[in-house]
Amino acid sequence: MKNLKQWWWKITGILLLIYGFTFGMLIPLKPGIVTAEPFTAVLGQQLQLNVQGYNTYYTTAKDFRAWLKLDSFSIAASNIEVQSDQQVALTFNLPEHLPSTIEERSPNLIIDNNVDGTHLLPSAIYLNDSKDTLIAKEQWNLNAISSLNKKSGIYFPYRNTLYETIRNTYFHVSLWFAMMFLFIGAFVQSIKYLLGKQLARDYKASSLTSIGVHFGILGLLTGAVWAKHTWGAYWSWDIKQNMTAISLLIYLAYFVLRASIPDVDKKARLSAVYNIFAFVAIIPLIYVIPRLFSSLHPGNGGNPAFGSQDLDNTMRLIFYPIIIGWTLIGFWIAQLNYRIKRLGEKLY
Amino acid sequence: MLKNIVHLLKYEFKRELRQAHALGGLLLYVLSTLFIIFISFANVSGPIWIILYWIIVLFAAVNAILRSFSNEMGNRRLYYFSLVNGAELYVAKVIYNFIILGVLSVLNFIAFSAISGSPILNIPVFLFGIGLGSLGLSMALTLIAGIASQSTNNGTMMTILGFPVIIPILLSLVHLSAFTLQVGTFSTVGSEAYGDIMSLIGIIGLLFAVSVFLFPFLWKN
Repeated sequence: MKNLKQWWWKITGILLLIYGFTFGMLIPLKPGIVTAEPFTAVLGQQLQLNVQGYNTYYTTAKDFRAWLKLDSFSIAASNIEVQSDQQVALTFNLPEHLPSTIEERSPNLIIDNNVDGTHLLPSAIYLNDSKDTLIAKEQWNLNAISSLNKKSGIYFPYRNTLYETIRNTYFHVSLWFAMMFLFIGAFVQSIKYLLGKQLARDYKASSLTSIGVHFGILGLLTGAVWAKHTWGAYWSWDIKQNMTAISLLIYLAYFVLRASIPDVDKKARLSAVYNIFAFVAIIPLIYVIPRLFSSLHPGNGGNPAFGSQDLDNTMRLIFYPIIIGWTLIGFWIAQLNYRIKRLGEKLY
Repeated sequence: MLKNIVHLLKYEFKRELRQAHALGGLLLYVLSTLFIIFISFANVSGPIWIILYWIIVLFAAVNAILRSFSNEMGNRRLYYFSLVNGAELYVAKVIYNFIILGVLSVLNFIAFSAISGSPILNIPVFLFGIGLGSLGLSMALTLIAGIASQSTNNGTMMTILGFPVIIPILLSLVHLSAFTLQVGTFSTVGSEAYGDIMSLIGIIGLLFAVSVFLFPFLWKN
């Protein structure tokens, strides 16, 4: 029982990480539409759209419906031919004109059935004008889409360009959060050192900073892998990539400073001063500068990590626990590191 | 407090004028860098001009501020410590470095414009940027110089510790200066660059608050 009191947070950390890794990897994505070909169509003509689905079960689905939707106007598919679980051919008789007062030319494709629920492809097709071979006398319908099916069960959202990499949210973003908590811990320990001059505080601060830097490097690497799949390159000199690299440089300089001072007390004092200064200096790097420049990274102009629509409630169920898990594990590693350092200095 | 700061400032200037070779060296450094740039780039376009300008100012600032505490080591440091507290000394050094850096930046601006022409169309906003930049750079680098002066190998330490820390200031300055490439009154260009000016002021305020808190700890052994 005595051990449990000391270990509860370590056990919690491990359990939360196991929970996050397991469910973060296992829960499937919602059905979605990967592509719809062709990419352009001519108004007033018949259009056959070949749709490629993802995680869909078209052959077992009943009550199959599809629409092209522009603003609140829509047109339903006249013929639906299911070819396989992931493939369906839709036939639309396109109206002669765009709906009145609408300039937008890229309708969304919406598919609905009883198995997969409603899924859509934004800006699926581009509509060109035409003045010849008018076979269709169809019109756009206002607010005609109703009684949509909802897919039940636990799923992660399907996003085009992200696909399965949406799971990296739990590893990439949560590592940054844990890093910030570790740096805050180091910042607090540094202030306590300056006020109390106990050497133990200095060891704690340097251990926390060290683990924080390691988490930061992991965050940068997971981000680079993610960027390769979504932006096309591991490193694209994006402002947020640069700023995080610079904040890691600031903290790496902390270790150079420590290594350059032989005297223990002087080292502790100077590195505590630098640690506090570095923590304050990275606040503008992470929260102010990225807002001045354009970036590929989500969350432009607001929260630096992601926009408000990038997380849904299912993701929150994994995302928040895994942040806590990484943070607890980080503090645990830092504590071990601190104890090794103290043993090395024979301070016990 | 104020009396001590004024006194320290007077003393700094008196000493600087006695050793005029140090200031002369800085000016010579700026001029020779400009000359190298002029030889290397025949024509410098607007954005490149701005980046080169701020990089010259950055290196001049590091060189100028590195010397801040070279005279206050050893016994003299003990003597200073008995007379003034850390915050006063820090404020005096920042004001002194701000004035030196401001003058240096303006001279650099004049010399750069004379050598390779100036793309800056809105000089008041640019001068305002120079003022904010000199203040921010002198605040951040004075504290770093204080740390570096107490470590071994302080020239290298100054660049390692200082460069990453001043990157936000430098980026905001380059971004702010880009607005001065267009014609306009102080208020129209100023309102476009409002975000940059506010973020610079925010960064400077933050650095000042934390430095004034930290410097006494750095000073006291």
